Amino acid sequence: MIILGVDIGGTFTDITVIDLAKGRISNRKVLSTPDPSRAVVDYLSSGDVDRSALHSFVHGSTVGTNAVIEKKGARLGLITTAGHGDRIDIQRTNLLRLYDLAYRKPAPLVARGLRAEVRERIRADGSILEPLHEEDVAAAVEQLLQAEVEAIAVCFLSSYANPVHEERAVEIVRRHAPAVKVIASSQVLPEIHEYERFSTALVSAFLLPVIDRYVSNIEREFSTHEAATELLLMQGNGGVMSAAEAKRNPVTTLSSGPAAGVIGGAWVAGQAGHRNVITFDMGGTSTDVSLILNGEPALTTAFYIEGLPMRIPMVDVYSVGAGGGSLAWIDTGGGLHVGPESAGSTPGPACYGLGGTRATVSDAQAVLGRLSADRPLGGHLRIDASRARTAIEPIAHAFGMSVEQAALGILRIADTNMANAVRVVSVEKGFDPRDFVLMAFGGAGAMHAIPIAEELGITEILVPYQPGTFCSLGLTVADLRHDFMRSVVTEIGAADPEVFEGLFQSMEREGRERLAASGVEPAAIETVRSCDLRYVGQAYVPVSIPVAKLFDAAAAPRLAAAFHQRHLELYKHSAEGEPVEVVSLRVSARGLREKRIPVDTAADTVLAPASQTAVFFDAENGFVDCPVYDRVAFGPGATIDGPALITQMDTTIVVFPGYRVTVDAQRNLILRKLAAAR
Amino acid sequence: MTALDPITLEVLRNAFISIAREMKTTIVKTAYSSTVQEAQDFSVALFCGPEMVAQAEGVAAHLAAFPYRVGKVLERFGDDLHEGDVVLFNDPYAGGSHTPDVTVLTPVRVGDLLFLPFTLAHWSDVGGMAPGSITGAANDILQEGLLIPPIKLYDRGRLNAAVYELVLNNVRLPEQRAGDIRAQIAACNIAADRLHRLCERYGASTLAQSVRDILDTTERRTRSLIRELPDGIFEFEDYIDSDGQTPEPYLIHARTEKSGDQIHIDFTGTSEQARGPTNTPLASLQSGAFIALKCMLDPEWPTNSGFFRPIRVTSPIGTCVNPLPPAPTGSVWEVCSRIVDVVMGTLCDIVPRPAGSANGSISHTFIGGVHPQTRRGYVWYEYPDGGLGATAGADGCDAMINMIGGDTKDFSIERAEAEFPLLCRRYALRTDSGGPGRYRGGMGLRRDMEVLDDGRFRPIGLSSIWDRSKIPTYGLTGGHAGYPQRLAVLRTNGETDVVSVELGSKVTLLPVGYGDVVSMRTGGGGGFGDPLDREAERVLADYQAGLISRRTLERIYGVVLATGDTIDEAATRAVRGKLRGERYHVLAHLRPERRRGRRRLASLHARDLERLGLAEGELVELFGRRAAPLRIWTEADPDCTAGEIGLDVTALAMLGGETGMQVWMRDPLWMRAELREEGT
Repeated sequence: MIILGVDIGGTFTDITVIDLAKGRISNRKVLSTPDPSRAVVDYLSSGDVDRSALHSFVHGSTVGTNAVIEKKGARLGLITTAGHGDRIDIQRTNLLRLYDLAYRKPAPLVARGLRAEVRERIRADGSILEPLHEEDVAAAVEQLLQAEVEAIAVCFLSSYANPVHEERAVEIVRRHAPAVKVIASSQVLPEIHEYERFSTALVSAFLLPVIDRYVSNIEREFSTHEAATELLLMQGNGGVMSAAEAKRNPVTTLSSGPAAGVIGGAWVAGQAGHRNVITFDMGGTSTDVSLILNGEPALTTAFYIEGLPMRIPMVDVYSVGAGGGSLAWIDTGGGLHVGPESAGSTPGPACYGLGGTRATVSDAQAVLGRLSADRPLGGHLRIDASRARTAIEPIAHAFGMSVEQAALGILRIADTNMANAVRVVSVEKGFDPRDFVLMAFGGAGAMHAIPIAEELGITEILVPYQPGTFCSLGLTVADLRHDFMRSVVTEIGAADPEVFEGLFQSMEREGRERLAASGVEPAAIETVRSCDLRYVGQAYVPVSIPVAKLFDAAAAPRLAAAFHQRHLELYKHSAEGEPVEVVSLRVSARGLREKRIPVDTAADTVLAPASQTAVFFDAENGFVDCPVYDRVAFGPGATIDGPALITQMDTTIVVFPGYRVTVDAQRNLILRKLAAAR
Repeated sequence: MTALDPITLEVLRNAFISIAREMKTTIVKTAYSSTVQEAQDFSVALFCGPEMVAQAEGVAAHLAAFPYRVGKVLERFGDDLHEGDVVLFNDPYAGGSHTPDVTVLTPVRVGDLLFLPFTLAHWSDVGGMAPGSITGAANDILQEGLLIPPIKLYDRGRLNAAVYELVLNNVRLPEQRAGDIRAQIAACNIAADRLHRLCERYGASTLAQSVRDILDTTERRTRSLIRELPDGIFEFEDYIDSDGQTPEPYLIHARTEKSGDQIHIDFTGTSEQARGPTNTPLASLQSGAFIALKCMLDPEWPTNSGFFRPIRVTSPIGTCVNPLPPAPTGSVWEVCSRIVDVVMGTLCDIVPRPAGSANGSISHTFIGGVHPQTRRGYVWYEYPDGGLGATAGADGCDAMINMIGGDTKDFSIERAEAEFPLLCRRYALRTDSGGPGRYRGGMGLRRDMEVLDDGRFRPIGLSSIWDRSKIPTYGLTGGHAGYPQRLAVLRTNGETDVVSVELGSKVTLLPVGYGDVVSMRTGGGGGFGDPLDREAERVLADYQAGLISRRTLERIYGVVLATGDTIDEAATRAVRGKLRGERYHVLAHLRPERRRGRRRLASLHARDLERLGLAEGELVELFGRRAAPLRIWTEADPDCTAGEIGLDVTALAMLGGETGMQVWMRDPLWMRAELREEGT
């Protein structure tokens, strides 16, 4: 029985193979192909995996994200409320870059000529002011059909309060244009704020044919070879879904790669006994950080893609433009900066020898001996430290420093930028990072983990077994998940528990039905309730509080008390006497999957260095002799003390002097400061 | 002490900016007024003593005036500032803005250093003669609500309950105001917490040095950017339509002197202070000038006090850009917007980065009353945005807050309808509103809000502070003006009441009834370059997208369409040639300055006026050798030779020429027929 996790990124496709029968876990990193499903199919046909034993295929890809970035989605039509066809041009009218005369808004996904307005109007309280003119919808469909649209989004004002007009319009579209895909804004997200809701629906509609085509290709591949294999796709909310669900509302596939890393982080750390974790995923151009509290990743509804707001729940992954390829530069005032501009994969860092000449974070590591020539990167590249030196020399010269000092400075700036990102997901949310374990992965995560942990006062670092392909591992342990919400906006004292209970139950029912349709057994379904609350009069929805099963009369005061407490933690003030308002109810329905990651115990506990190299850790000691170990040898219970470099296929773990590494039962590396380790 | 190493400096620079951003997030998430939270009409910054060290993205015009407010606080309290104090104030004469912009700041003592986390939020009401507090009819700042000098709302942690109650008793919607105060204090407390942590880590003396270095590096950078520009004196001017009380324009005149690594901008020649609210206190004048320079010199670099050091902005006292109390300042942002346009006009020929054509107004619009369903008081306040000016190489941004506004948002329709007795009937781009040009100005918009309050609990009226209704945005290098603004009430009986254009669309408590529609039509940005040079395909695309009318396509862009809406290339060439040939040129000659009221005059022979189809006394637009056009009023002068235009020495300087120079003269209001059709 084999479970395959495949995460397709822009450059690499990461694969984790879990063979439960043989008790083995292995990973691959292959180059992505222009048609992304090709890489999957090629891999499956390579003979690398026994297809007859393939039980689950769990997949995450950047297909949706790329389609939005490259504007290669559906030829899209919009049907909207009369008088409001330009809403998506107007957007929110804010000048994000304050003094920039060259700032331009993101282009809407629907051309102006492909928007049809229909007469209908619903008030804020959900009552109908003007009924839907069905003949307008029919005419709109006709007009859009003539313009040869592939998909239509139906976006009406106040549909969050009452979706009836949108639902009826969708029926009419289906009747008149059965070949065209259609989606309604209330179906994607029944939430107040028309621009944000329309934007979310438009992206989803834009992706309908793209994801449909992509998923169908993979399904076809499976149906010819192994009909019994379960095909699941990753969502940005951290859950997986069936292929049918992905085709139904494809906006959920956005940001699924980073989400998979966080889910993997929650699982692996949980196995190691940690419930509170900060994940730190550093790659070539950016670093993703996120917070896991009590084993649950934090979610956000403030996600943007190409400047377009998406308000569906997504794993709260905060991204900064700092990675191994980030460029170091000097401004005209004489200050040193790192990023956000990146050397990318071409020309890449100078030390890759692919034509890059400007100094990057990776070059700084190379100059300091932490990426030496005899350790190929991911099996693809060799490191040329002399090119890195040449690239950093101008910076060293400008500040009258040695090249090593300049390299240390570049790393320190990059590290503090990344530490600031960790503060955004922790301190700004009212959590102290010192109460968390730092989980480092991605190609460069384990090289920077120690200085970042020190900056934040974090005392324990966990480096998982296969950090370079960790997101694909995360795929194999994700549960199915669908999120639901209902706007209510009621003062908590005036809330009718029966009404709330009814709303919760209807969402739970829908969740169960959809999960059952995806083949989940009733016993494996779990539903989680929460409420969004604020003080009456407050404009934002500041706080989400979990709710116990059964919303009864006792629930309201409990919720209010929890809200005051959380508001105080988050914003350093609360107003106990003030009335509290319930803004929305949410249900997350999960279909629990069996998760088992075998541990390969065929490894040593007594370790010998594979080689020695000179590494520069600090200016005081300069280059010091440093053993180099091969990660493959690190079995459970093994321990070594820094300084050391530990290399594996696609990453290097830099162990600073004064740190001890131990290997836990799952073969994760645990890094602790020696004083703390004693 | 010697300068910090560059690495620690960069680390601390980012740390200070992070603190400011976290303050902003706190306010967004906890504020009560939708003005603050939904529209984000607030700003935050971090000060160390009098110096602004970091700011978060916010309202640009607030931010540059912050140092003056902080200066007043320090002047008032000196060393008597302690942890636990909360300072409250809004007096525009003590640091710019208008009365609804209320500052809350708290002192944070870190070693010897005094940090001041600073917030300013636009409360949707601070009392005064009309809901929303600011209105065209005011002629004394006391009519614009409470005037709070820097006072301590909390003294070392103890609330001054008397002050608190006094303030809340004199504003509309006191519960909202109380919530906003809490949000502003929370932001300062968050900053205090982060500053103490930073100090534990780095020590006060390192922080002190980092502040000095952060400002010094910005100053050095700014000076080096200024040094690259050619030395010289550059003048430009533009007008405010009216102070809302008399149909007379106000002149804003700037003289920018660039010498070495310094810039001095002086506003001598600007009109006297207005009786109405179109005045900007000195701090906000400086703020407008800084915004223009920041846009033109260095938009990317984080803003702090170091940027201001090489720049001096001055004005005589008693002008509408440096008024004396009790002149009202409600319309400060209309004046400030114009200051930005004027300063950009002085420098647009010499800055290396693409200059922008003129932008529109801020257009505050209010209705206050008691909600007929909830019986709660409400103040609906919004500012529909216009189009931005085009730049060399790109069309202007459609429907966007102008450069002084920054990161403030429009009012979500669904939020407005849930909170106020209003229904949005239309929210659309306004066809033809973007100034034609090789690069088209950004489009203004039309937002129609139907009023669903019959005034049963309190009679209601519409108040507005708009401008750019009479004298529209200017284009650059031949680009046309954008549409002027229009505010109208569409009555249930089918009539349209257009708010007086002569008064710059300013009105106070214009009665409105149930079912009436407030129709806000904002102006477009100025165009850039000659519209006859715009690629015909792009003109056609604008036409097909409904952004321009067929008439504008033909008459202004000179494009000829064959059947099936394809471009007739040959006919287009011919028509464009003909339109070029018909342009009206006159020869400049020097004569003494003449004015009518505050209007600068150009003298012309009656025949020339007739040829242009203009009556005497109307505004014309002149292009000389500089990118920006001169707006000037005409007078018929029998002594003037036909084909000549009499201009004073300043006017000639603004056109960049001398007697004998050829001047292209035209009617800036190219859209007269379109406006008539629009019914406004």
